[in-house]
Amino acid sequence: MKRFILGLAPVLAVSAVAVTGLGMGIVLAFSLIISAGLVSLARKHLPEIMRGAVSVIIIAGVVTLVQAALFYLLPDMSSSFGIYLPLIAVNCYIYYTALIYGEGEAQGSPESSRTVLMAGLFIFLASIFAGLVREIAGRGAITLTLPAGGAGTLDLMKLLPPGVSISPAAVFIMPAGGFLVAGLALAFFQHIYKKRA
Amino acid sequence: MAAYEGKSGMVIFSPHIHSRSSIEKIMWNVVLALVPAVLAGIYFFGLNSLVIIFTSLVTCVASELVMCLFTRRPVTILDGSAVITSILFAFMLAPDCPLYIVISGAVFAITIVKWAFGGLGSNFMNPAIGGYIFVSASWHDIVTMHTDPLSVFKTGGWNSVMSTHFDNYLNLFTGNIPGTIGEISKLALLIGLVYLMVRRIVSPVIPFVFLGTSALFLWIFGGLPFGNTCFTGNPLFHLLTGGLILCAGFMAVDYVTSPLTVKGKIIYALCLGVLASVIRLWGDFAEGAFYAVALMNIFVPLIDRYTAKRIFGYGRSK
Repeated sequence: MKRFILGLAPVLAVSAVAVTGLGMGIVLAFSLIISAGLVSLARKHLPEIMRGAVSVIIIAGVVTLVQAALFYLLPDMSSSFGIYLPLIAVNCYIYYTALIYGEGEAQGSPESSRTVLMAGLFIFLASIFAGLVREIAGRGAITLTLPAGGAGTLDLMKLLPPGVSISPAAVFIMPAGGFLVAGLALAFFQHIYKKRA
Repeated sequence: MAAYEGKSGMVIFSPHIHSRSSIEKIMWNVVLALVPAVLAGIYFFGLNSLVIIFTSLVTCVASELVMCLFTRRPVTILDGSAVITSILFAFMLAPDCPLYIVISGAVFAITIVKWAFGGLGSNFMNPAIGGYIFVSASWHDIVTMHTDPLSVFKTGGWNSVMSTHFDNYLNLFTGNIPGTIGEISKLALLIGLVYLMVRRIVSPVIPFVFLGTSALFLWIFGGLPFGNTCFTGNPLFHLLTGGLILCAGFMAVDYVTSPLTVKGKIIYALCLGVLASVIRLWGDFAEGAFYAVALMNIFVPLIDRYTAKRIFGYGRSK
């Protein structure tokens, strides 16, 4: 069985704060499901040689729309995503899912629709998970609204019993911490796969 | 490779070299060699350093036990490798380091750096250094912000070393200076290192080439960051401060994470000396030796590959 590690960049880049992890999860899942659906609809009306190119254009278009919408609706969130939002347009996770299940042989079957929906759900869960773990371990807080450290931040350090002073492990909000969390999650899934096999 | 594969596994053809050394024997000898430095740390910093070393020891051995049970391997807590990791890790910490930092670093060193890659013999990096890098990145202000002669030199140059009286080489050598638990007393470390060399557990190649390259490099370029010309550095001061001797004698020579052949060892130690000196002179951190060892550990498989000895009868003849 082939296994890929895809979609790392956007998840790792913005998951240092819980709420941007959540936002990135929604954006990724939304773009993935919508673009896979559109690719799937367009497939029958195109000669085979055009499909790849048109799929790329559709994905880029969807991501551009999401980017524009976010820029007007949630400017804080949009600026905290930075360059990683437009970069979704070239993300392999979306390409892989959209091309294999939206455009490939299995297109249109209930199974492929289910796979696309699951792929969207899981990248959403992965983003939230990475955001929560990294912010709790690295900042000792959970941010529910932007900006981080503002009114919407739940400071877990205040919940410690008095007299105990522990500062959070800042490495988790650095890029290295993102890879650490990703590696540990990967080890966990590898363990499950090995048990099943 | 000339090998015979049979029912009982694969055996490399004779001649086999028989040796009475074993993992346990080597590891416990290294622990013995670290004892003088432990005693020096306790002598100069008081019982708090003993508490840190003991916490690190208990945490490392407990993590080793948990990982052995979790991976269903034979329990190897008595082979001494976890004990060495725990002592070396505690050596890199300041004597007033909070215990939760000691515990998390020790757990990280054993579970992630050592066992996530397959346990003893498979770790790509020295576990103690991996743990140190984790805690120094996580709690940078607490772990690396202690005043020692090297950081004074780094921030203020030679004049502030003179004004704080850190230019007393006897004090630097015996360890009567602030710093981390294990690296202060060069005398104690050298006693342990000489013991290991006499017992032929550590080959002298890596420590000598590492320290020699560092001394040469720091002598030639040591004055440049302070606006002086070449050949104005003070290699003796550099060798006697920071963790250079601890690194060269006990961390760089780790069997698992150092090259196998003499040629490989020389290349490895040369790179270590240059890297450690460059980080010391121009890096953000006062002490570069730990990071140099961590970085070169990653290149060890590559060095081994290019310096492997040709097996007789195989490969091209020239």
